[in-house]
Amino acid sequence: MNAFLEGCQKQFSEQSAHLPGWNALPIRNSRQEAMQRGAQIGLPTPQLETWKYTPTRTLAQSRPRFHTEGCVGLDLEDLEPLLLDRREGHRLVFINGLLSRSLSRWQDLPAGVRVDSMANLARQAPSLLEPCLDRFLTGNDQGFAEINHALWLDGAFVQISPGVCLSKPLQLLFVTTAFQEPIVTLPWNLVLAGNDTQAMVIESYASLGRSSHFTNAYTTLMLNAGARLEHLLMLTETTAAQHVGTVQAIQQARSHLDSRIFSVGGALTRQDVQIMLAGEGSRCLQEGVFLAGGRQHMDFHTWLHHLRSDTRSEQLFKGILDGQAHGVFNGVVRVPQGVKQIRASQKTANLLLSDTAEIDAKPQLEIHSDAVQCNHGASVGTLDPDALFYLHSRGLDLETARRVLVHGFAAELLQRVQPAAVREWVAQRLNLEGSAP
Amino acid sequence: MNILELRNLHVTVMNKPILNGVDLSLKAGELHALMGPNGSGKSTLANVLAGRPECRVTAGQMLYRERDLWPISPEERAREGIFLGFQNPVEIPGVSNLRLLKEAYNAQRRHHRQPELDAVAFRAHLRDRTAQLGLPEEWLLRPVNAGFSGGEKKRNELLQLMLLEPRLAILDEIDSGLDIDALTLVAEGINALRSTERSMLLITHYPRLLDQVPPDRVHVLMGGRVMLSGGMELARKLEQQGYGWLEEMVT
Amino acid sequence: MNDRPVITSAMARSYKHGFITPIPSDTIQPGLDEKVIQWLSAKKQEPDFMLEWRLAAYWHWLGMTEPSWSSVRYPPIDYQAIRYYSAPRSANPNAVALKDVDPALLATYEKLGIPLDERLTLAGVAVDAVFDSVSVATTHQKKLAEMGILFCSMSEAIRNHGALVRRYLGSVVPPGDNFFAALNAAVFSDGSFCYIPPGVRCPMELSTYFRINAAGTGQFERTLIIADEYSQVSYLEGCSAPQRDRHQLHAAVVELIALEGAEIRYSTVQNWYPGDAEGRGGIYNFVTKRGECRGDHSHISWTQVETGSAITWKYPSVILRGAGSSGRFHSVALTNHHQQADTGTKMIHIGADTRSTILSKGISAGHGHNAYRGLVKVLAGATGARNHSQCDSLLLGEHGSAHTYPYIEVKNRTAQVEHEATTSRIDEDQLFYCRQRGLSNEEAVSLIVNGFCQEVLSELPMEFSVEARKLLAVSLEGSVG
Repeated sequence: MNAFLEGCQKQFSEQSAHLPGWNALPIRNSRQEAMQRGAQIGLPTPQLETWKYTPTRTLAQSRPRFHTEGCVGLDLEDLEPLLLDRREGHRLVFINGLLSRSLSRWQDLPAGVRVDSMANLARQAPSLLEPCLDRFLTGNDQGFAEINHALWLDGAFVQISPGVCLSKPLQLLFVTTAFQEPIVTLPWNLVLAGNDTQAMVIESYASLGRSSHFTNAYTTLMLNAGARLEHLLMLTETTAAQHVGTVQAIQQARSHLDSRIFSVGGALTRQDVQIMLAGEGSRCLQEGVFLAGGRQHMDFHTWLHHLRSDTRSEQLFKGILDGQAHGVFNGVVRVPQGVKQIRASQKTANLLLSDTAEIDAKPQLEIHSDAVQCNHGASVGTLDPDALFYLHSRGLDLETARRVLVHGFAAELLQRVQPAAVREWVAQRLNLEGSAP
Repeated sequence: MNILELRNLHVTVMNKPILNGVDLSLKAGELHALMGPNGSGKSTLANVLAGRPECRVTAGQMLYRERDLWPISPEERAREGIFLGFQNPVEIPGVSNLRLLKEAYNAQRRHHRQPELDAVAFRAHLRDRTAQLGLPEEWLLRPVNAGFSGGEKKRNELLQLMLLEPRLAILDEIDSGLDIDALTLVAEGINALRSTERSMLLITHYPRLLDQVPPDRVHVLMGGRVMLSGGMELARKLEQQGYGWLEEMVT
Repeated sequence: MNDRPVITSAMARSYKHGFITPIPSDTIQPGLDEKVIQWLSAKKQEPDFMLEWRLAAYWHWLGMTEPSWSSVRYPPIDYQAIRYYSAPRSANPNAVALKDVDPALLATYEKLGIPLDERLTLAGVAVDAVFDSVSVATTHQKKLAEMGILFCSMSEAIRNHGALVRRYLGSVVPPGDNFFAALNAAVFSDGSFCYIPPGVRCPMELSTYFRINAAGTGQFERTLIIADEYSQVSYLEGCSAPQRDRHQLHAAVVELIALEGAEIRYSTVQNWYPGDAEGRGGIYNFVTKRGECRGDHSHISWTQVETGSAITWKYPSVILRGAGSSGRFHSVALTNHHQQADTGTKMIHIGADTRSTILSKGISAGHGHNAYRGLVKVLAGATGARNHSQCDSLLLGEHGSAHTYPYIEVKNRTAQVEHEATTSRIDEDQLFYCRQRGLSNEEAVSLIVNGFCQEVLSELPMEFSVEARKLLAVSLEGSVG
């Protein structure tokens, strides 16, 4: 067994009594079972098909350091660029994995919206979490997720009552600050969107300082019938950080999910997205763009499960790779037997900007029903030399011309972000200002 | 003898009633025109006669040469001489026109216990007909309708009609999307195929085709029923006045 | 067209090649150990280097496990229950003239539609006929030899052209490449060998027809084709087996080597017994096929029509080493009833300005399972590499499945790689259109499926293309209600 897993087990055996919800039997059971499964399957290695390209060895060999103290004396100024709307925005801010009430702001949320820290909720109202505990993904490639389920310390809880419409985006901000030794944070976020609700949730990860840390996050999105949810995931941690995360969405009838991922951060970023279209008439849009340079490794695995008839999914994922970066996109569309009227479209396009960058793309269709219309496409290429020359001839230097074309490539996805204030903020965080009108 | 006789025909498509009691009869050698506004059920009538699975007969009868059509499969209707010229003929990638024509032609010959034509004989048999329609020979090697213009697709339908020599031809908007020259070609083709043995039902929006192919009778379909029947003068009136005056009659 | 095509088809409406030839044969006891390999090598009068090569492969194989990553499912194979050699007693390893060949064998091939009498075959095709573990006849050898072309059984090549075999055998598919390739290297009993000298354009199609006859045996043949500089050759492969309710293993290896400017076209129409409608019996077709464009501007193309076998597991690949070399893979895989196929290709771009094209058409009917698995790998040195892949799947009926697993790995920024795929059911409008023209439902499906595969079928040599069309129609039987 490797150092990381050993450290997690040690933490679990010594600190379990302090874990949120330990006194509530279902939560305790869930944690114990997850720890057992985690120990059994171990951390994923490249021998697993779904982790073939992800270099997890260094991570597995490091000894985890857990941080259980509250907020260090930060104030809002320190967080300014990380905040979507410092003055009026609704937000939950987590510093080093734990909720900071003073930096958060949710007092004027509309009635029918409940937000809280998961740690608090697990102590005060554990029954709200119980129905979600047996929905976690399982499988021999879920080692990191199991550790999250066993050891999560905090995270955001968002519950929207039926019919309520959240007019402003809600930001969930996770900031890790510099430490002597790298720390591990393990947030579990839970969003419960009731029948016919509307909301936009922006989950963003960032670092203060340049030192290394490891985020192992898990986010559960439950969309009840007719719910419309936009989920934006912003991965902007330092290039010394490691990030492994899962977004799991379960969609009931007629629900709409827009899932968007924007990533520029991490030495190693591995993000899974698992969307279950579990109700008739549900629709989902899954999009992402990642920019990796230097020695960054960015790795995205998505699964779209069409579990019921009349479900549709559309996906577009773009990668931009420079330096010695390594990018991976692995998308699976799965249609089981017996479901009808399925439409799925999956596209990935990737840009290699340097001679040493590498991309591995693997779009997959697993179709067991004949009542489908599915397609996928993948492309890898570099900047169009004709376009570069055209811009040169208009007086742009090479660097600017490259930048303009790269922005153009990303713009297709940025443009679809609404409202404009969010779009501009995203562009700024990605260092892509001016690429979307 | 009536080639086609529809008695109080009711048809639904995906549980939606489209035809609500159509009465129509067509004698051997006659050519009738069927007109009517959009959505009146013209194409549904054409499709139900050809046996499209989505069209369900809920009441009434359709008799083809005194035989009830309803239980008969689409291919058997075709082999027995019912031909539908499609309004929007579908594209079949990778299958050449020649191949489809040969398969269709020989399926019919087998049905009538006639010897099949081999590739060479069939090609010769076709050559005259393509020339007649002004179609180049390489046309035959192109995939069925793939990349064809609207006019080309219609001429392709006519080519199949000429080859299969049906007893009853139902032509669903064979004239739509054609320029004047192409329309004349199509009209000549139809006229050449008129005979005492063959009946035709022309579904059209415009009397301009009927000027070149004079019908024996003109029917107006509205609200899923034949509202009015007459001669060429009815087509003229519709051209000048539209369908508004008929709608008043309905209400 | 000649009315005696090389492979006349299974025109009739079921697996037509399922008969058994009652012929006395030399068959060894089931099981595999060093002694079996020694016996086999001695039986074939092989030089020492071959025995060493086989034993090395065997030791390697013992340390390997059967691959489990593919999407096909089957009960464990007992490798000790297989007989590794079976040959007709009458097979004469030194037969030069057809008159030396057992008439019962000639009759078998005649019945399969492959007359071995040179006066009766198509003028443009030379055939190597492999029956169970041995090659029983090779036609047109003399005529080819006049041009310096070597075309013979693998056993003969090992005896008579040892230097060439030693130089090239295993150079594309090393003995330890994968589980089944290692097994093949240890026990392969025969196969075809072909060498085209520099600048020669082979005047006829070369072909091998594989026939499994004996029960309880596996067939392990090995084919090696070398196209020397600026030569050209087109190669065809056909196969069939009796109808039995036990599965039989076929684990072949094919190696192609194209030197500078050379061109190899390899076509397969695979019609192994697929098992019955309930999935009983049929061949497990676990094959390693790989070509290497070793010289600059060389070309290798694989065209395959896979309609047979209970399970097909093969990825004919091209290593694009030479600058400006190109590789193509065209495939039709049809699975009906309980057949499974996991097939595709690997295109490994090593040299600059290398090109590859992939066109795959999968059809799943009945409970058929069909997976396309393909790797396009562009290494850092492959400047200007290009790939285009198109994979289409057609589902007939609601119990079949179609999976598409493309792997794209690119390490060079000047490379352009494009992959497109679609999965859909057969179009109802197309079906109705054909039926309205008098075609039965089954004829309409067959016609549309043929159209769906047209681009691949047109890559086949004429006789094979006709054969393949008919096979598709036959294989679809019972798939439409």
